[in-house]
Amino acid sequence: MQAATSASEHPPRWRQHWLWLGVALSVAICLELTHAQPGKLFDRDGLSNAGDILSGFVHPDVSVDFLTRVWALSVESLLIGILGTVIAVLLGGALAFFAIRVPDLPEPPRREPAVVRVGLGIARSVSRLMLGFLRSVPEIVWAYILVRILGLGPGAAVLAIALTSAGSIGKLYAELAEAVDPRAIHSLRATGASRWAILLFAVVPQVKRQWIGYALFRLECNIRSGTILGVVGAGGLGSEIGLSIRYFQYDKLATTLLAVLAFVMALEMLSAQLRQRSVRWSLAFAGLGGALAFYQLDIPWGDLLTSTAPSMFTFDKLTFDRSFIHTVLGQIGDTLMMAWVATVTAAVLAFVLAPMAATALMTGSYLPDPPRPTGMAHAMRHALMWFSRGLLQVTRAMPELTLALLFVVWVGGGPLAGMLAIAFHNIGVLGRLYANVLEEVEADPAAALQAQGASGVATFLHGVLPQVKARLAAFTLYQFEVNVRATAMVGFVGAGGIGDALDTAISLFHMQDLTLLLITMLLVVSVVDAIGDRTRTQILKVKTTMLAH
Amino acid sequence: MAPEVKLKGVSRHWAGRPTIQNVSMRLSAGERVALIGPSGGGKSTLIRLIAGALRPTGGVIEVGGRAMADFSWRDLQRYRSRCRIIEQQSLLVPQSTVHANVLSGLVSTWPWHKTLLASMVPMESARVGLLLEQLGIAKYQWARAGELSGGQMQRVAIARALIADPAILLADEPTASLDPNTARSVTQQIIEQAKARSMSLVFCTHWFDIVKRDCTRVIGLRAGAVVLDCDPDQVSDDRLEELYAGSDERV
Repeated sequence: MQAATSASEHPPRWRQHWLWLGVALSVAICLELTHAQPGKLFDRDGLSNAGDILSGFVHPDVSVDFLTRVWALSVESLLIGILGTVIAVLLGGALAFFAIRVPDLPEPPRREPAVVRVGLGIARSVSRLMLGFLRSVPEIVWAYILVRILGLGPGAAVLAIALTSAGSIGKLYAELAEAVDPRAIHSLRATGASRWAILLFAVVPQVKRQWIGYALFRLECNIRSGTILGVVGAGGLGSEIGLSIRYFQYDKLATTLLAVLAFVMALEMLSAQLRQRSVRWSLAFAGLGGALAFYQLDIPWGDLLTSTAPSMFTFDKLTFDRSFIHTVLGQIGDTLMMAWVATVTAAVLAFVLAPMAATALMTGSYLPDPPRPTGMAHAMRHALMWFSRGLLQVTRAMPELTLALLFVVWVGGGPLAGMLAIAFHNIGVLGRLYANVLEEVEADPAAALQAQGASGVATFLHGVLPQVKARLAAFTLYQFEVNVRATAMVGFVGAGGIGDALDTAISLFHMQDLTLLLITMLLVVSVVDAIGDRTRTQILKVKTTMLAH
Repeated sequence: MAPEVKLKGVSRHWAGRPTIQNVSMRLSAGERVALIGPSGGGKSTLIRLIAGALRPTGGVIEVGGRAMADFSWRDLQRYRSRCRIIEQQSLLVPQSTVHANVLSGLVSTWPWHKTLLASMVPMESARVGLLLEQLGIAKYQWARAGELSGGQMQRVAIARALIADPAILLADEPTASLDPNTARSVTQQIIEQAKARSMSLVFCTHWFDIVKRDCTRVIGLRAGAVVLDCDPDQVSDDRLEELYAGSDERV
């Protein structure tokens, strides 16, 4: 967005258009550099592979045996997601408590003793670093490592989800807590209350709802993850998806995918319900669900202590083998480029679909109770609106890894499959983010256009879009940051990027390589986040904490 | 040529309570009607009903001899695109330039591809510039609408309404939020433009004195009913007093 200049004498020049041209060009360059050929989607092999997958949906396996199995695995996935989230909230929340900066009074007569201040500063930095590290390692890496410690079964998935989410949850909890109204903190400070008392009595009450809201959002993500981590042997529906693809059983694949869809959507509805109710309902749900999962999943926790796991990580003797570093750098570049292409592609599609899913632009109006359109044209608009909503819903419900598996079958292994998977999933994710932004627009200017007979397209382009352009850009950028982390995962199923090197390092027990890779990931993710954060602040001209929902 | 608009026994209820009740009136081509009456009398509702932006809950609105309820969606959109409302507060998009805001008054007359192009490239700069010059705000063409003062914004809203050369111009207390001097000149501008382009005009105001000279008819609304419909000369102080009885917004 351009800086506001009052009463500028000239029409805006082509700056914005250069930007768009730059984005388009960058996508083309990224496609070239990663050797991704989108034509593969529709060449003869591609079409026949797609036909194979689709044939499964024509005759899904609905035998009682198989359905029972899918049901059991669905429940397992659900429990994995719940228990993982509960642990993540506890762990992330605990780390966040150390990471939150509690401001002092503006001009106190005496500050806390230096020892305390330095001590708290160190605790804060360490917990921030840990949160950053947890967040930057994708679930599947943890799952893959933990399967070696806890054995096959849901335990690895639970802990993997808990670790990665704990990072995201802790970081956001701390940011939210630091954004609260400082007056409550000051007044408690003035009574001489301790840091912990201030956190509990001045900070937590203010952020309680937002914290729960974000935990529910993570629960949705984690249950999606729970349906796919099985591909590395960590329990849940993923194991069935992996097996049916390996043995070309597309009828079983279809049933499993439909199960994923059905139950992820059912869960979104439940979480929407919980969001509206009081905090107590969510806590009760977490408690009961967590306890049930803990009892039902029967995870061999003891193995965590008795195994030789910790000794696997060796920070000494890190060799900087030149060819390995070359590979890593290449794959990091691929990962970033894949995430970029996928985000831009998904953004373009979501940009078209989100307004098509908006009631006020399609079948309703920003005007209060205007004369309504009737007849065929109106029925068409209803149909279009529900089609877009359905498409956004379905794409969002499918986890990236599942999609990656499918696209590897469709177009073969490599970055193209990864890009497609991330892009497809993000149509739904960005579509929902955009839809939320569109709901918050000032209705009056749009209503003024509709009153003069402007069509849906015209109302959107001239009455709605100028209001939200900056926010849409910021959300897209934020999603790019998320996608960098997601793209690191798809390499595990052969869909290109850094996940490939991670996969090799773990399966061959190259622990030094793995350590180096994880450190590199942490660096890349931190740099991308930092750049994204600054750019977003610049676009919106305000600090943006709460972009997650 | 503007179509004739006829209201026959039109009512409009909000949440069960009537704001307009059994109103019948006629707006012929080229007429300039002053719509007066105390606040809450249903003036804004009437304007929205005439513009085809609000559904009546009873009665018939006829446009050019056809009932609006029988219009196809396309016909309704076409009729709407020939009407323009100027609101009390100018409902501009504050993030867009003045130019883009004025231009948005034309979108309903454009095919979709022109609409799309216009959202990316500034178009019709000369035409918009000329109109802004007539309204005395030409130098703000490329400023952001949100940075203007109330009076300037209101002129932008007028420009947005006029650029499409509407057949029917509906002004809903367009000067309510302005200081007296600005209000006078804005009112003058609207009426001059309506005269010059022979539009039908409904001008809704508390300041009857300003519009008296230039309007061809006066309609008084009170509690959702027409209590006055006559030539401007026939409006005596007594009748105004009666119309505004119990309210302190005197004329």
